[in-house]
This record gives sequence, structure tokens and C-alpha cells, in this order.
Amino acid sequence: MTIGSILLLLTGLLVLFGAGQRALDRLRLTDRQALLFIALIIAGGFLPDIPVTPRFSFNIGGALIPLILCVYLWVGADTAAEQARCLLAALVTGAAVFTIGRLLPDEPEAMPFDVNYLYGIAAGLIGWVFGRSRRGAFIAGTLGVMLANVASAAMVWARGAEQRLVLGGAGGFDVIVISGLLAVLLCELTGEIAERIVRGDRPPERAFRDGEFVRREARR
Amino acid sequence: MRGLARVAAALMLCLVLCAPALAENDGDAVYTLTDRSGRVLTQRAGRMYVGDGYIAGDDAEYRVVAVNDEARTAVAEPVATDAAAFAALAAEKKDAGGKKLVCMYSTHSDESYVPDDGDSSKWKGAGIYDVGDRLKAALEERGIDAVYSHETFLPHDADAYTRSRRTAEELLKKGPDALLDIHRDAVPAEQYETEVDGEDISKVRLFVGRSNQNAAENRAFARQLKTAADELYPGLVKDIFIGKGNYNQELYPHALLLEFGTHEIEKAKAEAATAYMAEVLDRVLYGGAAKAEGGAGAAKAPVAKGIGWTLGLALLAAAVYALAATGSPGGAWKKLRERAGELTGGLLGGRPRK
Repeated sequence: MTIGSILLLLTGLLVLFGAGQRALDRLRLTDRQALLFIALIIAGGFLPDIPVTPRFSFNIGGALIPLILCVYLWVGADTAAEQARCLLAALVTGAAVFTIGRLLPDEPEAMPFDVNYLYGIAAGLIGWVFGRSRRGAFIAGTLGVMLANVASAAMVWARGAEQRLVLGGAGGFDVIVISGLLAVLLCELTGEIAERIVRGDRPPERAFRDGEFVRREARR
Repeated sequence: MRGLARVAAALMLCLVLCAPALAENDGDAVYTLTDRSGRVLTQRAGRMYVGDGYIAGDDAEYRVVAVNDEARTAVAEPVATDAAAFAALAAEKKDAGGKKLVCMYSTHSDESYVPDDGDSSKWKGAGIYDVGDRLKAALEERGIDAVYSHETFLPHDADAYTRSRRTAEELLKKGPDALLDIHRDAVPAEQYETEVDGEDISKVRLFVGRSNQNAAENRAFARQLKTAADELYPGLVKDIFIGKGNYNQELYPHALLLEFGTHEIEKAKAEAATAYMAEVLDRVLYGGAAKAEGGAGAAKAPVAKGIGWTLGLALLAAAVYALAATGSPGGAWKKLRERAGELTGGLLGGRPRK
């Protein structure tokens, strides 16, 4: 079982027990939707890759479902400015992941830890810095890694090599899952801390009910 | 302005993360391993780490205890061989009468041999595929089905093993008895030159990644190969290096990385080594013409064990969280039933409350 599937299973269990509620609220996802996406990503990861051209195919769990989730979250963004910020964050994340791949040593032993985690952390950090929201962070983390994979393949194709690109397949599955989850986690941790500093002991002013944020009435 | 500050902040964070790796980014660096007395044990292209293992040609086992990155040297101390553990892992028998299959791929798809290919790295027509093809043919001559994927995983960068992982997984679906990643080394040629049965050939290094849950089985498999090679063709297997990293070997207990020669050696010598290596593989995996020791049977059990551990730990983590969240086992069970009921519309855990 890969690290990506393990992380998704753990996330699913935490959602089942009610943890991560606030993160899901801010992603505008209900528990059921979150569990459905997690189940689809895991199950889709086991399905055969879908060939588009002889040189390009994609994995359902590692690419298609995360992409659908990204589109769903992007469409649900509050303003055009947030949508633009999400795309910009994805582009910057893609550029950073691509650059890191070129700079890192060739051999796994020369890296302090698995390169998948490094990409996940880098994508998470950039997604968090640029996205400024859980939604933006998730989109930047997952879409950014996919863009970097495409850019890397394009570079190889440009040099005349016949090489397959399988978006989200095998190792790519882990990177995309780790990036998306980590971006949201970083956003959640830092966001919560910042919010708690600003809000102090006062209760949150907004709550998430029936798919919408509603202003809570002040307690007297 | 704020946007630029964000870009700068993000890049700084990434650089901080990458710093330890970037400091070591010298793929051509050749490290020399010595014992305490300064006697050279071996060289390898790539960094060595404290904790790396080395099994020399004479079967003496060492562990790296100090590394000097400036001088590119490392010092190793002898360690006792865990013969009992090795014997236990090697004792598993392969099912008689099953199909014989070995799968291969080359993660570093550009690796080539300078004397014949003109360059050490070629994006088209890389020499490593000629060597892999010869090994495939040699295995087939012995009645062993061999699949050698010609997929490429360019460029030769940090992501190469991530890209080759998909191919490794695809090959594993065929149920091979061994999964081999065919490489060549990048140390001076004299390290690999040898003569076997009067023929000038290249030695073969077996490389085991120690950062994976199958490391013990991978290592046992490597030792089996070396033992058989030492018996059949002394000098063919140069040594076993046990380095940091996983090299996709966590996918399979019988996954191994083989280095056929070095970039400076004539390709014909590396190709010549394949016939001998095929016989060694035949001996270890299928008993060859003589005996059966070790085999695919050893490859299955640890996978189920790993999944069991993962699920067990996940359930334990969930139980601890539930207890912490509710304060009592009864409360945790009630909450789980409620949540399961809500999520499944009453199918599990009772009907949800309206």
C-alpha cells in the first residue's frame, strides 16, 4: 500500500470521527462529499490508466478525480479575484516543483527524505502562501504538481525522446495526494493559529450550515 | 509588491527545504570507502552515509561509521553477519512447476558506455538497453521468460525513480520471480574489470536500498545471488552496497538494482557478464541444474504483513483519537455508530436521528 493511499485512509478515518471539520467547512465540502472523493481517489488509483494518445495517459484516482475536485472547488470560489489567485498559485507551484526537480541530486540516497514529501511540502508551502485559503492551497498543491509533470514531459518530448507521460500514475499518485493534503493541512494550522490570535476567546462569527456560511448571532 | 514578497517567501522556504539535498548535488562525486587502517574497500559514484552497509567480494560485512564530504571518503567498520536471519529468509522454497519469469527495466534510461556509445549519457539509443537486452536473451536461452521494458524515464534526475515506479508496478502485475533494475556505475573502469572463464568481462555490483520495509528480504536475495556467483564464477559479483534510499525496492522483496560495469568500460564486457549473471539468477531462483534455494515464495508474505501493520496502526490512531474526543470507550463507540449511521443512511450503525 502506497503512502498516498495510507494518508487518504487516515484522512478518511479522521473525517469519519469528525476531525478536520473546520478544514472541510472552509473547503465547502460536507463529510459525505469528502469521503466520496477519498474513496474515489483510492479506488481510481487501482484502475488501469486511461490512454489519450500513445504518449499521454492519465490515472483516474491520481489525476482525474483530483482534477474534478479542483474544478469543483475553483468554481465555488467566492470572487473572480480568488479564482485568479488559485490559478496563479498553481502556476507558481508548478514552476517551483519543476525547478526543484532539476536542482535536486539524481540519486535517492543524496536526498534527506523521499522526494515525494519534498514536492508535497514545497507545493503545500507555496499553495498556502499564494492561495491564502484552504481551497487555493489544495488547488495549487494538486494542480501545480500536475503542471510540473506536464512541463517535464514536454521538455523530454522537445528533445525528441518518445516517452510516456502518465499523469497521476504510481509514484505521481503519491506526490499529488501528499501535495493536496499537506497544502490544506498547512493552511489549516497556520490559519487557525492566526484566527485564534485575532479572535482571542470569542466564538467564531460564522458557521457552516447546509452548504453555506452563515453569520452566527452574537451571544448575550 | 506584496505578490513579489510572497514569491520571495515561498522560494526561500523551498530553498531551505532543499538545502540539505542541494549541498550534496554532485552526481559525479566518487566516494572512497576504507577501513580503519585506511585500506580501500571500494568506491561508488554517489554520496555515502553513516549507516550504509557494504558486503565485500570476500563476504566480509561492513557498516559506514564516518563520512568526510570534503575529502569524499568514508570509513567502515566490520560487523558480524547475521547468518541466522539470512538463512531464515533464504529458506523459503519456490513452488515447483510454476512459470519462470524475470522482469527488468532501466530507471536511468540514458546510461551509456563511453568507449562504444561515445557518451556516458544518451537520450536516444542508450547503451544500457543493449546490456539489458543481452541479459533478457541469456535468461530466455535458459528457459526463463524475461520481460525487459524499454520505457524511458528521462531526464536522469531526482524524479527518475518516481517515473519508473509505474513501470515497476506494471511489471509486478505479471507475477515475476525477480524484478531487476539494470544500471551501470560511474566509477573508474578498473574497479569493474575482471576475467571469468578466460573471458574479459565486467563485474556486477548488487545494490540494495536500505530505506524500505523489504530491505532485509532484498538484502537476503542479493546475498543469495552473490553466494551462488562466488560458487559458480568467482569475481563476477563485485560486491553488495546497501545504501540510503528505496530505489522502488519496497515494492517487492525480490527487487534488486544491478550495476553492469561502469561508464568507462567497454560495453562488450558488460554484455559478456549477462550470460554468467543469467546462470546465477537461474541457480538462485529456480535451482538451475542443481538445487533450489530461495525463490518467489519469499516474495509474498511480507506484503500482507505490511498491509496488516498499516491497517492496525490506522485503527489504533483512530481509536486513540475517538477516545480523546469523547472521553470514554462507550462514548467513542456511540459516536462511531452515530457517524456511520449518518454517512450510510442507517445501513451501518443504526438509523440517523432526524
